[in-house]
Amino acid sequence: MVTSPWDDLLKEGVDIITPDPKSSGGACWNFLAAWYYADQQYGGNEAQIKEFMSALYANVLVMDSGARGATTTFVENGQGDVLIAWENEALQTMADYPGEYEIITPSVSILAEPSVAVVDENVADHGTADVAQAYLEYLYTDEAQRLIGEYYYRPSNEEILSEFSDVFDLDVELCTIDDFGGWDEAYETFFQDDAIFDEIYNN
Amino acid sequence: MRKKQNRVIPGFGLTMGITVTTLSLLILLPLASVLIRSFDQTPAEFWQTITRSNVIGAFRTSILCALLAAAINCVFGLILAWILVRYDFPGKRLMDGMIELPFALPTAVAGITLTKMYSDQGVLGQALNRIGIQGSYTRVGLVIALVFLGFPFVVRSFNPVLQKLPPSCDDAALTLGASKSFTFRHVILPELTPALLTGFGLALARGIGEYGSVTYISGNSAKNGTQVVSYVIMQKLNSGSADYVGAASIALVLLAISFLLMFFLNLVQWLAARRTR
Repeated sequence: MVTSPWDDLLKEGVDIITPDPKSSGGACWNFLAAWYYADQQYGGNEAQIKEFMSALYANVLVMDSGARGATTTFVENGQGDVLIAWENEALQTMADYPGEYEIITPSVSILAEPSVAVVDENVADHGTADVAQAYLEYLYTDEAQRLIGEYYYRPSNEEILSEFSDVFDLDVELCTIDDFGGWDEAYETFFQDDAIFDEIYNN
Repeated sequence: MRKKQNRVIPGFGLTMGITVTTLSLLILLPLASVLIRSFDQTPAEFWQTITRSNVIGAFRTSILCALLAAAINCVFGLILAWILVRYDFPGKRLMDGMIELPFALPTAVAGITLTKMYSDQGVLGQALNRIGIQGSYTRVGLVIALVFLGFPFVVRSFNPVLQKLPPSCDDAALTLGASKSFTFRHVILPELTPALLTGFGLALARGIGEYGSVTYISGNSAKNGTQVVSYVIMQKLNSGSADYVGAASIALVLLAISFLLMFFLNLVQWLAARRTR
């Protein structure tokens, strides 16, 4: 069996910092990325996946209410050995504290793409349709995409992304929320009361 | 009954009307909306929501920690109020002015700062570690945050009462042959009891409902019993499908428990006041 950094998280004595999926969106992404890895590893055997997730969450030392709180706990307060973090927060921390941390990019992870949209009704109310539209379009220009990359977010433009190949590990295999049937289904399956997260965490 | 024109502020009808209106708009209506929200479900669903093990655990944690913090505050608040009233020393005014600072500080700031100080990497946390106590991310940390937040209530409840209790009172008791502990128990303490209960009640209420600071310092672990009720309510609101009904149900129980505790404290206070009269 090929081991991945995900497996290292299960080792005894490893203290993990990741926020609470029942309160934090970032934490849900973390959970789903791990689930996706286990799903591949165990060929979809749900009992084994749950066992993996149980072992992972048994190593969680502090569950903050949000992703930024978890970063604070790890970086400022020195808790735990590993922080499961947004890539951009991890890279930012590396830049802020040179030489103190190491980024380990897992073999498999999840692509977190928050939506950006112009809401017709709102822009009509505020009379800002033109600027909102212009801003939306600007986000996809080369200039903005480079700026996004400089702030450690992955540009969606493939060409510009490749300019940042020294920053981002482009070999990581990424699943998306669609692999879980979208957020509504993912919440229902994993994060609602008595759903899978409660099952693996409380037992 | 006194004649109406003797009153400083005229118009009982008008003032009562203003009072009832403001109370309704600011307190009763929002509370009623919590009540109504939690009716959007069957009683069985309501019962299931509020009896889940994490919810019951959160209630236990919130109430126990708030009680403990309020009790600690009563002891140290009395000592602090006592030295502020009975003694003169350099920096007294400054110290007096600092007591309200916990009110002015945003609770999230207080939470983040206390967490850092009391974590095993922090200055105070390291000291605690040496005697085998872990500060941040445990119930100990939770109580520390609640003590910090409730402290001003207790000190400020004691302050005016102690000011009205001149040192000659305890001197008189002592000259009449009472021992120091007898004087404290039978002369000073009865005077302080109403203030003690008020301060205790305010600090307790503050502690039971606190959210901002405790989410940082407690670690929010259902397993370690450090999730508080307000956190569980926020979990419901933050989750993808925003469970307003569930949140309102837990909030309703929290309100009911807080009301009963406050009612009980007021009852004790009323009985104590009647006895001393």
